[in-house]
Amino acid sequence: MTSNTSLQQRLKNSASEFLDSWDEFWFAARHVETLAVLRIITGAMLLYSHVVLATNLESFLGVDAWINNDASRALHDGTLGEPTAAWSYLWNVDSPAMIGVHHFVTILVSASFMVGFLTRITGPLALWFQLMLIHRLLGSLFGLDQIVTYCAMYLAFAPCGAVFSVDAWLRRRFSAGSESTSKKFKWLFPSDAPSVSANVATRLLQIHLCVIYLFGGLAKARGQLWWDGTAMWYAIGNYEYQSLDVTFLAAYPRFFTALTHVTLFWEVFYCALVWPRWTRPITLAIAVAVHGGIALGLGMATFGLMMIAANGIFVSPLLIRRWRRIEVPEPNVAMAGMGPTSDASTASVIIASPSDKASPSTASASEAEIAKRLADLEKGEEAFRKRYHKLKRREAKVEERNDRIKATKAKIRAKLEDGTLVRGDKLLDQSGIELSGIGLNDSHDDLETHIDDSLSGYDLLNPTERKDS
Amino acid sequence: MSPPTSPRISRRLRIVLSLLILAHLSAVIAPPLAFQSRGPRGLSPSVSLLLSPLAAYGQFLYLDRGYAFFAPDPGPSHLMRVEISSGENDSAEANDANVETRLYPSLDDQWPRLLYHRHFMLAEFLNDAYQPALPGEAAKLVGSDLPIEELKAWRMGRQRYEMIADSMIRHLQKKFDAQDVKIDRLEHMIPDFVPYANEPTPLNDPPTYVLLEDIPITLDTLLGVLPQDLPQPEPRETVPAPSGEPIRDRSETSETTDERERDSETTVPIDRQRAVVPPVSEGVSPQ
Repeated sequence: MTSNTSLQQRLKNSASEFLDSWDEFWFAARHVETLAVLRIITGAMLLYSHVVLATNLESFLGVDAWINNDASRALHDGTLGEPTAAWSYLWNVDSPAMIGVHHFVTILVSASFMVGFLTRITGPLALWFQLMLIHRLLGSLFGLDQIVTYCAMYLAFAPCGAVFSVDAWLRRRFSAGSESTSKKFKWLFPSDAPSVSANVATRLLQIHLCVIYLFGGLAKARGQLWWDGTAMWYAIGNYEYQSLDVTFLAAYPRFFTALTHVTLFWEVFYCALVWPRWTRPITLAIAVAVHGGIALGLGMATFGLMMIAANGIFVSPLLIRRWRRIEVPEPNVAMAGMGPTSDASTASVIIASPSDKASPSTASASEAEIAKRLADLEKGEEAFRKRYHKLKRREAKVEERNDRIKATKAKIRAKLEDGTLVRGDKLLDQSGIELSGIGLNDSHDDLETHIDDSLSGYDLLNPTERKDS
Repeated sequence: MSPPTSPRISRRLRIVLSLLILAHLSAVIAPPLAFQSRGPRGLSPSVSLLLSPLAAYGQFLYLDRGYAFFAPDPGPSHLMRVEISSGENDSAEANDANVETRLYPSLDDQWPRLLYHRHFMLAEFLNDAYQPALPGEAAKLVGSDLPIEELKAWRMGRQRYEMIADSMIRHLQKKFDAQDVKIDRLEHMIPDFVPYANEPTPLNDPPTYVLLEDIPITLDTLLGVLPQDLPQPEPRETVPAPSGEPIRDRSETSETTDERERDSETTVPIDRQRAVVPPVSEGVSPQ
């Protein structure tokens, strides 16, 4: 019976711990700097991709494209296979002028997203146009389109325009001098205070990357060449991919087979190794090496760069804040600046400060918080001084009373000795009043206790909430 | 339970958000899991159960990917050799003179590299979509040996390939103002590293390009690829390493891109006749 109760308690504790961890992982507030950097790179890649497409637009969109509208629609709507929900209105756009205008707007939106102009609006719009395009461009897509779409997807609904953006400049310009701004303004031009939405977006992309690498690794593990180590050769020996000729490595099978094995194991175990603080730098360094190699050697600079940028989601925004010379609390800096939860506690501290609401930036929020703390301390010091003087006055009175009592006792002892003390003596009446609650021994214990009690419960840092004794 | 980390999120909102996050993560995980768990008898029932309620969501957000980059094994590339004839003169000699041969992708014609890569993916897409034509008498075999669904799937696969090829041909006709356009699929073999290290030859050596001809499937082959006759259980794991020799079987080719792998889900390994491509006057070398 006791063991059952103990087991239940343990399960209850475990469940409680799990829920706490879940809350901490998903709903802790996070700074937005990492997402803002990713926004710039993703926006730039979207812009580049759309501009390149614009140079040959009629070959990829419209009635005479490589895959024309009818074929693209038939490949999605179930005519030539299983129907999918990958719908695009571009299947129905035949007019070259309309396609041109649409693409021009797409480029404008991507550029706005990149520079962080009206990011709350251009983010979702950039994602929308990207989805419409990729559902139309079936057949000419590759890994770049996947990772850039996923990054845009998670950035679209995060306040990633709060820093390094035109929005941040507009916010400073329009909110300067005005204490209160409307809710719409605050939503459109979010402050760079930590937010839960930034954390959720970060976590989702982090987990999505883990899924990509896990299944990429498992798919490779089904092949033979990734196990015998020669897969790397068949990548660098592929003429159509090759952008840097490193075929001399054919003479060094020990080297390229080692690269193959490292790549396979790194990819399979990425999802586990990227979380612990001490294995994360190694895991990310290999990611940079692998994708850098793809960018330089396999002719996919765009894909390689975008994957490296996506891996940057594991870099803590606190690290970037330090580069921005924004003060970061030491305990969190000491957490390597890259931990998935390293900035959560800092965020909580900053959120807890009421001054955060009034200040436009976190830097000024911190200053306001410090000023308020100083004011509180000064107030506490003043209160402490007053109480000290009051106690000193009380002590003086007690000393005075003690002296009187001593004098009375001395007189009583003298009368006792010479036998002149009689019942009803005035001295006895005086001592009855004076000695009450103090006693005949000259001890000050009660007094000290009284003083201690008066100070207990007094919070120097929070004088307004002290428990007056 | 300890106090919430963020005072701005209520408990109710956290529960709702948690459910949405779990649903999204399921939509992220299910497609690659489905891709890996598809066998000769179709998709794993449990994975199918996970995938089906979130399939539309994943398809629209482009989450329905397998992420099998250069997997299971990196293999040869596929290209398109295009013969464009203006056809203004009726004589055969004049026709030969008017035929222009181009190769897709080509770094000479497509720049920047991203544009080249998009054309590269189109060539791979056409190759992945390939399905040979069925013999005319295939319909007579419908019965226990050849279920009607199987026949329909074959025909739909062929229609799919033809629609893609026709679309590409129309694009090239329009682009080059040509009367006739012919697209051939080429496979570019990768040499084995041992002979290459001993005697390096250019990777774009003409004999390394193999023409993949479009020949209708025979009845024997058609009956030979029914599910119960497919090699069990894992044909991919017995794939020999590319040796530079022409490949005899479709199953020996491996996929190098996610696009290829996704589309190959609907194709069935088949016999194809291949021929070494005769040297082409221009365009064989993409650089």
